[in-house]
Amino acid sequence: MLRAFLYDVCECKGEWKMDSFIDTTVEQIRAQVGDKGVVLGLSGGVDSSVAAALISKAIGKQLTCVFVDQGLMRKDEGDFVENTFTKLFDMNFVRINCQDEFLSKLKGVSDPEDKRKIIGTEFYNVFWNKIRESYGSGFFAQGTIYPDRIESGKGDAAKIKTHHNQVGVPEDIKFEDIIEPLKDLFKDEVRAVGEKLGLPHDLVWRQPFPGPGLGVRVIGEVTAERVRILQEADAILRDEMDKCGYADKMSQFFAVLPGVKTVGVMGDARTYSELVAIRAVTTDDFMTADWAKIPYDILGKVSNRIINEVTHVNRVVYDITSKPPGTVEWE
Amino acid sequence: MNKETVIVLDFGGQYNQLIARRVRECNVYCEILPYTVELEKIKALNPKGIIFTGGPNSVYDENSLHYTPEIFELGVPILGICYGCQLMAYSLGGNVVSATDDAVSEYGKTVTDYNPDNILFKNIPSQGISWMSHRDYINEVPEGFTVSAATAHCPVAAMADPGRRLYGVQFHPEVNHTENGKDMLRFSSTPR
Repeated sequence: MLRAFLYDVCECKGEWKMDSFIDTTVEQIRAQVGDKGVVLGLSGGVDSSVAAALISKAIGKQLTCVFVDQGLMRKDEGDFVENTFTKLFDMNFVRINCQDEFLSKLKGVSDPEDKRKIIGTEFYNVFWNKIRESYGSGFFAQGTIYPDRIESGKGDAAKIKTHHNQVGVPEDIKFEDIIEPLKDLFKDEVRAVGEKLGLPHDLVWRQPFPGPGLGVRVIGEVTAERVRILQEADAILRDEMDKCGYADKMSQFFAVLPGVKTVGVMGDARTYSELVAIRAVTTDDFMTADWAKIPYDILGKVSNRIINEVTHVNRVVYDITSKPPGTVEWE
Repeated sequence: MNKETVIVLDFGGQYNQLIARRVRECNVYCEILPYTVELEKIKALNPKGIIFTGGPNSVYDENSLHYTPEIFELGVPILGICYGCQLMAYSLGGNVVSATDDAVSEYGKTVTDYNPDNILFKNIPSQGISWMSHRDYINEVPEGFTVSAATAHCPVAAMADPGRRLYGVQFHPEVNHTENGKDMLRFSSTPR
């Protein structure tokens, strides 16, 4: 019906295809940038990764991607992002490793809102200090996508959304312009572009990941040791889900370190160690979500491996709360 | 870039982004604009077509969201969906009423008879399930329009004025529950 309306009534030809989008956008970026530099903040998420790949295709080494690794990503994820962009794409790639700085700021902090605030502020400072120091001219690029900027017809017309461009860039840094090559695309279109540009499947289909990273999955105080425990447990979960083919059936799954210690017995000796929780959900839109009905034998295997392979963990539980009333993340 | 553009005019419906995605899946570029956008801006985009979305209001309420009837004089094809269809009827002299009893309100899957003379329905079976979600309904179409679909409770499930290229549907073609939706719209399902 819609198709009939578009083709037979409106006489559209149907030229909106991702191949032609890539070609046109590459030309546009070249024309706009000339021989100047472009700097992009790469988070390792889908949107900024696809934007990076697209701009790289257009201007190669004129693009610099700055990747702040605060040490709160999943196991080996920082290396995966670095390898992807240095090996598969032509660009300057700058990785800032700053786990120690982040952890020292988080020392003794356990309130979730305080943690979020600290991680956000620290990220902002590290990123923009680097930009100010080395890349404070030319163009700034970001992976804004269409749903980020649609004005709703519902609200009060007078209340126009602050343009996201203005948000974030410190006033003393003057770029020529902001480049947002994905600003007209929906998420599924962004993924299609990413696949066409040769980004790895795991990156294109990456699950939603909170801005503060594992900082909000390590409940309570965030320490290097507790981040390591969570990363190991989460990696085992991902490995098993990949092996049994369930990974692609879940919308999102991850491990949480609730900060609860329980008593156990391992090798005839009493233990008193961390508890790991497994969270897995299925959803169409993330507005509502159902806990995933993972078969017991798979859960059993995950539990067994985590307790055996991750030191300082002696118990694993599975979260069977839907959203609502729960949320997908724990804090 | 000079590309074919369709405008999705947003009246606050819950499926607005879904409509836009369905259009894109048909390889046609579209933009969602709020109902407050000036007519001049719409003209400047030189759209190939315009789609009015659904919305939570009743067209005859004082505070409901309207658009200048001049939009119907642009010569650009318009498809009204749900509230958008009622607004089209109301703005052009038809009559929209509120269901006084629950019998006429329709929510969910509804058996619908389509008239294949309407170009929108020419390639689909003459009867099928459509996804309805409305309290108000059109009981009289504007001059120039003909009724081209109906259900047991809804006398005007679709209307058309091919001369002016104005079309309206009371149901939601963008929702997968509308039967044959995939084939009708040739949805490409996204992997995963």
